[in-house]
Amino acid sequence: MLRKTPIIAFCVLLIGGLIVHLLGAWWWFAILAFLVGVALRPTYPSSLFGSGFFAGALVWLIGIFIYSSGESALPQQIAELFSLGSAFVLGIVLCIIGGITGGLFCVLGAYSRALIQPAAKVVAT
Amino acid sequence: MPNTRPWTKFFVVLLLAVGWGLLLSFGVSLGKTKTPPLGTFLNPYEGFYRSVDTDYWEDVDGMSSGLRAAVDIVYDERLVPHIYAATESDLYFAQGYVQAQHRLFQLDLTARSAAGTLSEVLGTRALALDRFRRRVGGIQLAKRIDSLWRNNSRAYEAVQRYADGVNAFIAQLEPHEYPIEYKLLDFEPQAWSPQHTALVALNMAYTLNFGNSDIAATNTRNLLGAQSYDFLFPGANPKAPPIIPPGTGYKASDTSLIQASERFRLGGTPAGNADQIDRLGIVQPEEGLGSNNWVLSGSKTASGFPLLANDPHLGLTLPSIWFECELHAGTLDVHGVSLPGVPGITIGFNENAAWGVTNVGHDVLDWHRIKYTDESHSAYVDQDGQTRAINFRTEEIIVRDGGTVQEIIAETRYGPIVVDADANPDDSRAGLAMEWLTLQRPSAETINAFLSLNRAASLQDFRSASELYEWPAQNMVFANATGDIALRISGTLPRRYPGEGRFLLEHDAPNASGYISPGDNPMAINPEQGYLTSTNQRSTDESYPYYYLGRFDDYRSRRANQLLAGLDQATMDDMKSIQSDSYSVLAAEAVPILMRLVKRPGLQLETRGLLEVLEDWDYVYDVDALGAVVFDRWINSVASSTWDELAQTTEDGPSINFPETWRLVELLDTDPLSPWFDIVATDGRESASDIVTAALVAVGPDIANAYDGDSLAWAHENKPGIAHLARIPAFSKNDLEIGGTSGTLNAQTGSTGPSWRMIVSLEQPVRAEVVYPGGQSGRPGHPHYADMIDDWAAGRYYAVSLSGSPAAFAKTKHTHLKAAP
Repeated sequence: MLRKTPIIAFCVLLIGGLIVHLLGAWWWFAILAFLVGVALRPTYPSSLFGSGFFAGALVWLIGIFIYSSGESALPQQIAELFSLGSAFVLGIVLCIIGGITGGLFCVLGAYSRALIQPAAKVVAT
Repeated sequence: MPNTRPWTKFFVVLLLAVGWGLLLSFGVSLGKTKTPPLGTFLNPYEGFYRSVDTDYWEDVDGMSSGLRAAVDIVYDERLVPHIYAATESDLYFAQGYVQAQHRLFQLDLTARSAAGTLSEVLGTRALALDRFRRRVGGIQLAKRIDSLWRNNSRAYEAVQRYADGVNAFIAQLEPHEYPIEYKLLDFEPQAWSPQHTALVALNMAYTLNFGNSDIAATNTRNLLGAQSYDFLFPGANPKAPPIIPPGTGYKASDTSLIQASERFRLGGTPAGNADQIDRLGIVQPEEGLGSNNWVLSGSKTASGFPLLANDPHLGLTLPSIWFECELHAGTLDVHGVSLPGVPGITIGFNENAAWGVTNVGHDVLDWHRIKYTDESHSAYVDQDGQTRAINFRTEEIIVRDGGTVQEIIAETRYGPIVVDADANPDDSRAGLAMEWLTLQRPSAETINAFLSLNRAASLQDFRSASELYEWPAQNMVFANATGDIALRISGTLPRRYPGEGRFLLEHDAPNASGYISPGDNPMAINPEQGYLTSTNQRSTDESYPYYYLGRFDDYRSRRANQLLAGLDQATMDDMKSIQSDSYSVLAAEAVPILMRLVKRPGLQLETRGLLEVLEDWDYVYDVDALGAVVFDRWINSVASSTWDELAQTTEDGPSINFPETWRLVELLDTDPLSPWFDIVATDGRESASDIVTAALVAVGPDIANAYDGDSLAWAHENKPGIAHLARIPAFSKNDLEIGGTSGTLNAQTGSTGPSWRMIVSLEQPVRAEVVYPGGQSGRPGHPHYADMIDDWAAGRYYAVSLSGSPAAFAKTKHTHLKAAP
């Protein structure tokens, strides 16, 4: 059975992430991820890392698709500037950066909440 | 026992998150460079991906607020804008807006370079240049020019409306829309003003008329003695034909300097030890700069109408130094290139005439040694014996990530004292004042000269326009549809005593003041030979009544005259082949001499092979010319060995002038036993033959090893490339496969070359073919960022003609934009 909390976190971060990225700076998403972590209070705080990571990566990937232009060689040139070889590799790196941002701050939020208000342990029966 | 694990995990995650946040919030140092804040730069929603937009230029809504009537802009396939406005006022506003759309970073950086404010964005690496340019006083000059413009309605209207257009574009920019360089360097565009236009002009003056060798010449003469110096440095190559054909009459409304020449020679020959003031860190113009232009009268062309060609050779950059556009307003219809930052067209044609420019190259910068009255260095004794105070001012240079630097600037009557303790630890202010015509003569009219040329039709129009022009002095060629051709040395030229300006001027050396009357500038109109040409060679023959000096071309002029004189029924294709001509007169002259002098017995097989390569070489610097590599390295090695007396003093010593190559070739040919060929470090007495042979033996193995079987030998030796303005490698284009060298008409060096090739046929309607090494868009990665380079490298051109109205363009092939108030 799928756990609901990580899925909810993923969905909120995906939709919320798109909105905050369109409206503000990159760190707005970090704050959003933190707040989602605080709000959802998962049993295991680290379980939200995946949700935050995949949502963040997907949000940045969507951004790449929205703003990329097949006619421009700029991503390739930026990839060369950062010694990454190709625009494809650069895209993967960007997604990882978006993912780490989402995952890390979501987990930080969850741990903050856990310190204040620990979740009840689920006991296997 | 309390459970510490949640706290531990929290702090670990907190630490990671904070670290990650800081990493993304600030730049990271990678060697000598620092990245922009990575979170902002890499985030696709606000970072570099937002600069990927290739249709940015289609948005002209921001123009509306500044226009007085509607403006049409039609972009052609190369992204060349054709701007149609009701008035010149709206035209220059739209030109400013459009150029800012495509070249905003270039505008910014060019103005900062001249002003001495690069450190604000580039940090300490630009500080030395900024300090020097602050001492020169670029900002003050720009203010003086601006105030002159304010009293000159025509010029002011153009530069102010242009600035309004630039600012209208900047005003509607969101940070995520900034060109990529702003994001990489993490700074914001600065508002534009007429002063910035003046700074762009000053930047061109730094490129074209800042060259000077007075200090090195003084050092060299002190080292060699006057007699040897005059022997090795006799002036311009006498074989190079002057720009103005001999026999052309000259006006001389002022002969006082000629009569005073004896006084100067006897009384005030400047000398002095310039060693201690040598390490100035003064940025000299790039080597290899040079340009070609020529006009053929209808009697030499197939069409019966004049042909005009121009290819200014400048430092090649991306984005290009030029921006091509076509301007229409009322009766004004003109096509050509402009300098981003300056309204109007700089080189181009209209429906009646065409014009082009090359650099005059006269020395207009002198150094005066200041005689201080005392140790305080606050006053000096002037040439007339009067004591004059030195004016001091302090400027603050903001250095990115490095606080501010206070720069104290000292001004004399001649100009700024630019040498200080940094240049010379032994003397807190060595006291060298720089007298530069550009500073002495703030120009309000130069912009009007170009605006007038944009409308010129008759010879009188050309003459009037070119007489408005002040600096940097240019050889302007002109042709019109009625069949006239002309060439005028245009610009303000200093009056000089004969010999004045060759060396550092001692404080009591007489120096002439003032300028040659514009009416006395050399000019040729419709000469019998049927053509006129300039390739930066000396302006006139000895019959010109005014003294001038400078660094002049020695070989291209000979080739140009040879080719043009032989033309009959000339076509545009003939013009193209001349512009791409890579035949070296120097090589043709020098190789037979070297072959005559070299001692073949005893040479190794591979070295003999190089001689065979040279024997088969046609003296053309093609991309694959191994002969060009052999000759270039060989003659350079011969020069090093011959001038060993000078070379040994330059290691950690003062700067020295080396004799020009033509003088070396002349010596090799006429005086092979000259003592100059003796190598100081040996006991024996070497001759030219010994030097030439030893030089070949020295360079031979390297050439054989490096270029065996190389089909691009010369291209690999010359390494031509086009660097991004901020020297960002990923935005540059290197390893171009093109021929040419600095002494050929196709004057291509590693970093300089033909920056704009234009050929205009003055038939009706006027038609032209053009190309430049770059693209219209200044935005890296854009399809039009570097799209013309391949055609330029291959010697291909684009046909252009004036379009009467926006409706003349096919809707399907062009983009029509309209902006209305």
